[in-house]
Amino acid sequence: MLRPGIPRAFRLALRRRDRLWREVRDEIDHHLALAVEELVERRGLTPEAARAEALRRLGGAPSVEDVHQRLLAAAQRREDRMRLRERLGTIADDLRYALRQLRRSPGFALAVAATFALGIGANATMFGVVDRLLLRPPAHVREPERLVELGARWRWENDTMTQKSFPYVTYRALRRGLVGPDVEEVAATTYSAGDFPVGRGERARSARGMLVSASYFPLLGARPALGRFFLPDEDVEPVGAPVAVIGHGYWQRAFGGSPAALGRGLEIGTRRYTIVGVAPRGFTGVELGAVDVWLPISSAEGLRFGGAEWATTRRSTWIRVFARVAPGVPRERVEARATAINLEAGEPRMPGMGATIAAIPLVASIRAVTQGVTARVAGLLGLVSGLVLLIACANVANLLLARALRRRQELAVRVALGASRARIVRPMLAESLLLALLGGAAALLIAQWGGALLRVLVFGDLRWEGSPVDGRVLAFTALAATLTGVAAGLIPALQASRLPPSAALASGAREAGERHPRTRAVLVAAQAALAVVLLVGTGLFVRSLDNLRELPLGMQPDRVLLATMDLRLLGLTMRETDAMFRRMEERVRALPGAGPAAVAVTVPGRGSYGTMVRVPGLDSVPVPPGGGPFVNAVRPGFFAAMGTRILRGREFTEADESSRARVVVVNETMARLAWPGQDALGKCVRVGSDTAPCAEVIGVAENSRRQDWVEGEIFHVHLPLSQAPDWMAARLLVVRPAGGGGRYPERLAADVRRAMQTAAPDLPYAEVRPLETLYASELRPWRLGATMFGAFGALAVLLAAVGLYGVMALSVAQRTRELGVRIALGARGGDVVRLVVRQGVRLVAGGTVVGLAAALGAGRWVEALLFRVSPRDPAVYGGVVLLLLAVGVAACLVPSWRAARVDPAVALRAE
Amino acid sequence: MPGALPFLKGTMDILVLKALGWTPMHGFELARWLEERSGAAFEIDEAAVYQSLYRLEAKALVAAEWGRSEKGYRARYYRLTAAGREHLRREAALWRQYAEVVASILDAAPKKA
Repeated sequence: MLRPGIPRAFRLALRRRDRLWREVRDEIDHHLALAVEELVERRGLTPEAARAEALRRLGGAPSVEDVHQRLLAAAQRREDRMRLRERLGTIADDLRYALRQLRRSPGFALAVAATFALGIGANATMFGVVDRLLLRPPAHVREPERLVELGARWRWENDTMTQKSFPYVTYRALRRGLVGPDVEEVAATTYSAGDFPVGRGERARSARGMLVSASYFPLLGARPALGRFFLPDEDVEPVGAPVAVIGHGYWQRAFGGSPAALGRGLEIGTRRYTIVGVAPRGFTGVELGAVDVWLPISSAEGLRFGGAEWATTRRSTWIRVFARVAPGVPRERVEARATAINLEAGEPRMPGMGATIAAIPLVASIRAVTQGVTARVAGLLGLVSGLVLLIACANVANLLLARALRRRQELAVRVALGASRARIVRPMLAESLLLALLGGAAALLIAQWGGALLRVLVFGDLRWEGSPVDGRVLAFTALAATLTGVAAGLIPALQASRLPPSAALASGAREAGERHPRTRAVLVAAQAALAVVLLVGTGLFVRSLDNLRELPLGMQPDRVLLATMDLRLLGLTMRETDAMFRRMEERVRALPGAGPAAVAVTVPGRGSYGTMVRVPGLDSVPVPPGGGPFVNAVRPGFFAAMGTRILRGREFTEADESSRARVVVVNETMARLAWPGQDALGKCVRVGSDTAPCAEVIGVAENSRRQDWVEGEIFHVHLPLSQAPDWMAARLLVVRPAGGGGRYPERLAADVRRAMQTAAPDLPYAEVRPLETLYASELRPWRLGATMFGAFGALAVLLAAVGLYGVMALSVAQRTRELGVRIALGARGGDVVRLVVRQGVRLVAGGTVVGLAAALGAGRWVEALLFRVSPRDPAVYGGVVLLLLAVGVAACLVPSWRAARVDPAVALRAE
Repeated sequence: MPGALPFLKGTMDILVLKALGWTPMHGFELARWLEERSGAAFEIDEAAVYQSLYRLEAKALVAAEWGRSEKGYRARYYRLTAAGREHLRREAALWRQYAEVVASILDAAPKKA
């Protein structure tokens, strides 16, 4: 059945049209009658002739109906305009009224607008992040829904694995075989953007760079902001043209946005690349973060993987492959074709593993590769910020209710004088809407600062260009402000309009009806319940982060600097490279404020080297869960610099470096598994092959890591750097600030960089950063969760406390008389305080119980996102309950103190 | 009507305002008033008078009300609003100025070379 209002609206519209029609007819018929009368009287015409003449004068219409029709249209236009004007006038009236009300109580206005600002600001900040991570299609990419990324997919036990990297040869075969009627274009990129050293010597800088095929930009359908993209004949094997396309942000930073940037050279590695184009603003391609420089894959000497045979080898898988599918072509057809091509091209592992090629939609692929868990946490936080907004709404509704209560006599008078319900509701809604919009404006500031802070704190490794507040955040904020304004204003406005005027007029303002206190109490309890949910979330994420931080890592990544410089770019031999790093090590060790420093092949998190280790007397050694053996080669001082303790024996010395006697330091797990119950020191291991010479174990180090913060135990062997095999060609430098603690390694970073950079003229850029940054993306989900849940939780508690305070203050004011009586009858201050506090705490306790139940129910959603914490962790729940009760008592203190000071004489006389 | 002047577009509104500036009238009275004042020089489309009235009403320059004419008919009476009066004052000044300028140009004697 239709709601009664709808047919009524139709009838109204019909009636309005009928009335207009009748009016026009009446008016014209009246005119015609007078005209005929006059013509008959003065000119002596017959009535028929007079009528014809009168019609002729009315625009020469053949009949009176024609005149009616012509004027009806004009009258209709008139009515529409007048109705619109009337509506705008009403709105202006409502706004004027709302403004007047607000100016009368600026404190109230400020409190409400600030509440809105916090609630909407939290959402706008979170929306900015979620939008980038989950919602927004990649910028400047034409029809992204037709783009796919190709990946090899196979089953391994019960898991389906997808590997999205291929050798370059596979890309070439796929491009040659796929491009046709079904697939418009195929393009390749390096696995992810990396740090490119740009320039030499003192002026050397680092830039985010990516190698791409010439077909990359045409595939995405982007247009350059300036110049052009790569030409097909610039990306050819064996050596392509030295050309570069730069990102819009880099263009602004490095060249001040000048068109003269075109044609300028960028010295990267061994080559000098000419800038031929600038990508459009905000373009990041298949990456989430900004990219500074793109180079053709075939041109980027020294920056590729796979060595000299990069274009033919199958050993290096470092290329991602993307395709644009023709409209209407099912992905399965592309997958089948690509699988066949891959087999034909002779991928050796494919048939054995039963692998097929999968075409993954680009947008899903970008989000999965870069984020994974982070995206899920961000999505969760988006929901959570919605809860904050609900709390803010409840709070504002409460404040508005309290005010409606104070104005109830005025409202009652207006109702009694015949004001319609709409007349009462509209100005109140206008008031709340106005405040929400004010709050929304302030929320933009919060989003600007909060977004910038979040980028630094949690997304430090992702380069984000552009302000956190963009058009989409702006639109979202406007929408959120409007919706919350209406939502928060509706309850109190409807309540106020439902008021029977007789009751309101009869009773004094103080003895208000029962309805309001109950609504207000429910709103406060709801706020407490939501705050409990948020606080439980905060607690769970903070405990997860704590558990992660307390994992024994066998190193101190927050107290070590990692310094890297790619000398391979200069084409130095291994011997020259080692000499250069030795010189840098010396200079860094001599820096004031520097502690132990050492050159090494790699560090945990920077990639690992697998090897073979034979223990004489054992056929095989049980392999620990993390796998192995893995090998690293390090200079003396490495363990001290990393903060890895030597449990038995000793670390390497310069003597080991210069001696030909083979020595190793093994980790605890290896010592335990290879020589159970024995002392590992002095034992022999053969590293690399069965026939390698015996190396003596001179030390046992505590277990550290291979690659990740969270991983299983591994077999780990360390060699002196001088005994490293040739294929362990990478070098880097670790340094620890002096003075044991080394709390702030960042302070030393600039000095270390300068010392390395000036070790010789014209060196490429030295990257120096805390070792911890290698794990930033791994720890991000928990960091994001703890930071944002914490912020939202604090906000929720604050809002709930303010709400409770408001309710209690009003309640005390309303009960002044009753309290006066009690005091007059002998109640003491303490009794009154207890009375008020008990009332407040009961409200909070009710909300807390509901909140705990909700948190327990919601727990399983976050279970997968936690680290070694049960979603029902009793410590978290207990802490939240205590905190909330304490806040409840605190919020009641001032009102209860006021209640205790009620003067019975004054209170009783006041009535 | 022989010798009737063509009616310039946009003139109707200001003449209607002027007429109502004297006294509130209904449509027929207004049409007669315009005819008499112009000495029947204008050929007036009387339907256009009503259209002009509706237009002015939509702009809130005139307001309308139903009443009884002296002959007892139900008639819609139009009167000038404050905004209408102000509008008339401005437009009339503009028209006069315009007419003067055009006239002075047309009256100028050709210069002897």
